[in-house]
Amino acid sequence: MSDERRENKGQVGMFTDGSGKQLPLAMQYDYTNFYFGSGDDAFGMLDPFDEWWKDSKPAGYYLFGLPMQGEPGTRVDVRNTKTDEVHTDLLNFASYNYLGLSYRPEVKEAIIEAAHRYGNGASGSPILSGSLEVHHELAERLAAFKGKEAVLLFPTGYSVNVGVIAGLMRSGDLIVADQYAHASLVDGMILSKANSRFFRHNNVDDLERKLKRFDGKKLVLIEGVYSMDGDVAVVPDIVEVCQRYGARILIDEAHSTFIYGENGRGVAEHFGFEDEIDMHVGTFSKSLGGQGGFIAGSHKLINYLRGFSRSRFFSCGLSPVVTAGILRALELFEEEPELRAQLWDNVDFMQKRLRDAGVSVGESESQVIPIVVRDDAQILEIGEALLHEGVYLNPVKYPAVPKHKSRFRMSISAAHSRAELEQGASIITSVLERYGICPTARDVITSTTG
Amino acid sequence: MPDGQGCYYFNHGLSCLFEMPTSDARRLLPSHLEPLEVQHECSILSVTAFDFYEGDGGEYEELVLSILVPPLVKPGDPLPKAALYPFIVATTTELGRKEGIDRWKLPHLMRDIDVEFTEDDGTISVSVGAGGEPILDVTGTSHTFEPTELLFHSFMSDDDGNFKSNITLRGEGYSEHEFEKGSLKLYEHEMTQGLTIDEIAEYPFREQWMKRGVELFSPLETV
Repeated sequence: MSDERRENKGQVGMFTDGSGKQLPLAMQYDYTNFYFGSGDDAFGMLDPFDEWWKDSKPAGYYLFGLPMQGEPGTRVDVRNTKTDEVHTDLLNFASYNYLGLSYRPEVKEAIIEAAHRYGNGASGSPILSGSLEVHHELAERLAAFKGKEAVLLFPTGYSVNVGVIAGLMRSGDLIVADQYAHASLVDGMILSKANSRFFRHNNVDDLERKLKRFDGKKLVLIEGVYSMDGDVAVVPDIVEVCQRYGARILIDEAHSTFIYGENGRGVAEHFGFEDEIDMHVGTFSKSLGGQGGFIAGSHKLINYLRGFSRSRFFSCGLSPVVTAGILRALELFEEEPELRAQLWDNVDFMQKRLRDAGVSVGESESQVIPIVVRDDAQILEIGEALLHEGVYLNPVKYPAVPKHKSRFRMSISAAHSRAELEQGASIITSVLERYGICPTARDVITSTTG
Repeated sequence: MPDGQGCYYFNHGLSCLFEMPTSDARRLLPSHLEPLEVQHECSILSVTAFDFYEGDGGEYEELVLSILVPPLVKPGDPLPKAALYPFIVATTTELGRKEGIDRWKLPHLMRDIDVEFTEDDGTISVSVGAGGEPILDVTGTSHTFEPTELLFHSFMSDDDGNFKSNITLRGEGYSEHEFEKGSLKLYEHEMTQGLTIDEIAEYPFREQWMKRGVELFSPLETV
């Protein structure tokens, strides 16, 4: 070995992000480092995690879960937990509320009325005393909307997937999920104790490879719109493979119900495959701006799940106040088809505006738009800059997404005005430019992903 | 250099991580180690190849197949980048093999292998075979190369007990990414026994490539 090479080795420093950048102390670690710990104390990781968190929170992690001061509208006031200052009138691209129904006066009135009639909570499991008239009304209205025989309500979207999958599948069965499946789908797989496999995102050849090796009960899990990338499931191809191998399909349309399809029934309707898909999951927290979720399917399916979905069985029923708000939001959705038209108009504008500026938005074709920054260490710093410039966006970094694929997840709403979209796009692109990410990002991404 | 430390200089070190069934990983691991899962029932196979040009084992090439496991971190110790259990190692020379077995208690294929590294325009391909029979072909791709030092924990087991070594990899250039651009082709062979080849991902979810570096083994400690 040459002397020169030996000398160079001495200059190597610890802890870079893989692209060579020297990381600040707080960024040298992430959540993955605190999952396992040695020793016999179940609290063994609390101290090291706490020590890291004290450094990491002010370094940018405080951006997660900032307290909003009012309704999740297009402009919000948010308290900065690092400085305690309240950032006012921020352009909000962080909340779901895709149709702007969360805070509509009609919805608020329905909520107030329900509070007078029912009080706060359901005060019981839905299989016991926690099933109120308003729940039955919502379930029936949803079944009619989805064109399915029946609907079962759940207290959260998460609990739908966990309860349905674990309620239906058993040890020895096979569940195959898209690799980008939401954590609720994955947790359902874990709870079911079935054999679990993942297929490469939207890759039907890999799905077939996983299915063909197995004899027995099979279930395939996909999402309509994927929550971190905003792209859409290749439903026709997936249905074809599943039918060939006798696999049932569950589609989670959390981000696509009330948005996709001629009637807003989701991506399954968009592709014309509603009858070919066995289980249709949706949530109330996204487009309708409420909380909770549902599954739509046959009478027999719903009847079985009512008895075997433990996440519903052992939870208190959906709050009647929230349920009444959802019911009213559903009515508004049906009465005002222009809401969806406005949303798509806004999506088209923002997608084009960002792409034209050279911002990488991946394969998104929906209201979920990833603004791909790639730099895992810089994403939080950019998030801070955006906050100070007047834009509220949620950073998503490794390990929630792969390394060098850190991004902001932008949510577009029908409630955004054109001026708000333009102002938001302008701030975002100028901040990214300042960090050398835009418009040069396009070239970088082309060279690294082909 | 501290007493007992192993030192191996290389031009290229490629390590690609592939998803594999946890059921396979458990069968390959000793009972005191748990596989690290990247996803439910989805463990991690590490395919690593080095071309050593100087050091304690002389000049040779090496292939290491490992399962990723949780690290063993004592209070106050630095956290490693990863921890792994090499379940089979193969080398191109007897001296390299002897070094791995005698000093580091690593399980080896007991005959020489043939390894071919090919670097071309941001891609490195490694083809490995033995006696004319293919073992595997692995390809990794580059991101940005920068000087880097990384710490790993390596676990070993034999009839004498269970051991750990801290491995430091220090390189003039290191690239790491998760763009899923590399590939893996595994063949039926003594080295790949225990792996359900059809169920191992054909593309790496992480590609790590170090150039002009050194691999340092700390003395074995009993765990």
